[in-house]
This record gives sequence, structure tokens and C-alpha cells, in this order.
Amino acid sequence: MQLYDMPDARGHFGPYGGTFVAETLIEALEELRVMYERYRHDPEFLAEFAYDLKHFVGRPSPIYYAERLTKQAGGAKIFLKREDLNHTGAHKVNNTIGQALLAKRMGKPRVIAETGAGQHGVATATIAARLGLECVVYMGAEDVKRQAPNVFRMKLLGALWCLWKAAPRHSRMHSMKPCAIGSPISQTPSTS
Amino acid sequence: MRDWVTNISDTFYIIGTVAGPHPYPMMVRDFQAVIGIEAKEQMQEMIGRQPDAVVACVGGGSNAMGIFYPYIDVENVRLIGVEAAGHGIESGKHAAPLTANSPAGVLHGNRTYLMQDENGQIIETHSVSAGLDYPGVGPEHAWLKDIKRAEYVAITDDEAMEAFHTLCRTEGIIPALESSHAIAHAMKLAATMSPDQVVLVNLSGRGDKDINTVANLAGITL
Repeated sequence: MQLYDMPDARGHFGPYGGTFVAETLIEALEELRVMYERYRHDPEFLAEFAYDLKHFVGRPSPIYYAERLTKQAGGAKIFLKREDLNHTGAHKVNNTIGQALLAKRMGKPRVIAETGAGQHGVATATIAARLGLECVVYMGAEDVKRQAPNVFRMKLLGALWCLWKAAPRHSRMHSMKPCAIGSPISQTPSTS
Repeated sequence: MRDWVTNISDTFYIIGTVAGPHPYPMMVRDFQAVIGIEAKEQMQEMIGRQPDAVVACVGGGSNAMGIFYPYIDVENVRLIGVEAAGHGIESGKHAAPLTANSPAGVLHGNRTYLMQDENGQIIETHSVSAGLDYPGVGPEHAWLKDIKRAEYVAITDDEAMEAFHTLCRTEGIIPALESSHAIAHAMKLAATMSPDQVVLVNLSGRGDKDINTVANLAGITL
């Protein structure tokens, strides 16, 4: 029984959180909020999520007692929760699977994501391939250069990739430039 | 965002961390909570109790929320988020809004603590780790700081690099540079605790993606 109960119905964690977006996004966020409320406790949805976490990601990730690290630090025992052993190599995939399964439930054949270093982009492209969803990943021009291996991974996974020029860092969410200035590095993936 | 507005009927926007407008911070936390749910069971099985402290790195904060959330109601488990101190908090070149006591503001659809100048403009951040290089933090972390349920500290680039090499050599595990921040703090913390106490670290990712960065810093071209 969880006593801590946050956020409130409008997404506030005390004075934080909330919904500060342009009017044009309110409808989409409201649809998402309603659908997530419908599915977050739905046994069928949760079973589907658990199945992919087990069979696709390889969960549960082990906990490992780092004995030699403990000796070096000299004191309390250090244990590691091994999210690095997940498929795609990080915790990010837990979340992209959840959201992609929700997209499928909502009847959305296309997912988009923004990525800086590329890890979230790769995790999104991965589950999009697994579920046969069209995937577009937006990335800043500078990051595309710096993260060439991740850009290639996304390409291998069939993601359509868009860059936006001269976007300041941290420009996610609000100042997205149109995709037209970028160029896809692969053919449009099939959406079978 | 513009893509989403234009293609709202057939498109789902996937956010990668516990930020963005409602319901994203809650939804991403819920999906990542599998980390903490498993950890509670596994710790019980391995040592017959829960750890004294749980340590995780915080950029936006999704791996930390994932392991913290199921522990929020568990008494006597310290929750410690590790931000990126970059070149040092006092240098201003960091990505640690909580540790640096940055004021609150609005970014990416939510209100939270934000690195900003006196006019409220977002300031440039720095971390050796791309995944922690973010001027804000998930709004739930801001709340957990305020209610003092979680503590937030910061680790510099140099300390994280040292922890990266230490974990490689002592355990045969190459950690992500993000996770190396958590390892660095866990080692410091463990040294102040007794051998019968336990620190659980969320090793959020592997470091294969970072070997070019590490090599470059050492003046090596791969």
C-alpha cells in the first residue's frame, strides 16, 4: 500500500509539475491523460508490458554484490542494480516499451521522439521496430555529428531521422523546427 | 512538438525522462518503477532486508525515480540523487540545479528547479556525460528535495571519470559515464558507513557508448 500519492489529478507535485504548453497541445495531452488513466491499472496492458520486459529486455535485471569495489571504498557493502544488462544497454528501454505499447492501444501507428546523446532515440527506434510502428527521431545537427554511431543504430533499426539546424541545446518541446530542413537517412520504414 | 501538433491523430510523442507536461512525469516514473519493485524483492532475498541507502544519478531523473519511487514509503532507506557537478559547482559549469539551489521556473511544459540567469533565461550547462547535461530536473525530484525525502549531491567530471576506471578494473564492468557519477558518490558514502551497512546503486547503463569520449579525454584516437 503506497501512502505517498503524487502527483495530484492535474499533475502537480506540490508547486512543481503541471501543464505549461501552447493551447494547440492541450487536446493531445488530454487524450493521452485519459488513455493512460484507462490503461495504467489494466491487467491486460500490464501483462503485455511485463511480457516484453521479461522476454524482450531480459528482466529482471540482477543485483550484484560488488565485493572488490566495496573493499576499495572501505565501509558499507555496495550492491549494483544491473540496468546496464538490459537489451539496448540501459534503463531507457523500460519506458519506451511502456509508451509504445500505449501508442498501439491508442491506435497510433507512428511514434516520434527527440534525443540529445541518442540513447532515448535508439531505445525508441528499437521498440518501434519490435512493434512495427513508424518512427521519427529528431536530433540537433551538432548532436548528429557527435553521436554518429547512435545515428547509424537508429538507421539500422529503420527509424526515419530528422535533424534541425542551429537549434539551441535544450530546445526540446517548444522550439522544434520543422522536419523539412533535415534529411532522412533511410527509406520510410514500412508500417505493416 | 510541431510534428506532434500537425500529426496529432496518428502520432504518439515518446518522452525519455520524467519531465514534460502532465502526464509524462508520472507515466515515465510508473514505467521505470519496475527497477525499484524488483530491487525491493531482490534485496529481501539476498540480505533479508532493505539497503540503508539507494544511490542513482540524476539528469532529468528517470532511472532515479524508477528506483526511488517504490522506496518512498520505506522508512530508514536514504534516497540520494547524484547530479553532474561538471567542472565544479562554484565554476558555474555544471548541470546540478538541485545541488546548486537554482530557483524554480518553467521548462519543457512543467515547473521545476532550473538553471537560469537573473532574467530567467536558461543558462548553458556542462557535464562530461551527455545524459546528465540538462538544465532542469524532473518535477518530482524538486518535490522530493523540498519535503526532504530525497537528498541531492553532485559529482564532478574528474570524480566520475575516476569511478568509471575503478569499476572497470575492480569488477569487470564498464559503466556509462552517467552511472559513474552514482558509483563515485556511493564509494564516498560507503567509506563513511560501517561494513554491516548496505548501499544500493542503480547502474543505469553500460559504458560502451562512452569509450570514444573516455579515449579522447586520455588523448587517444580510436
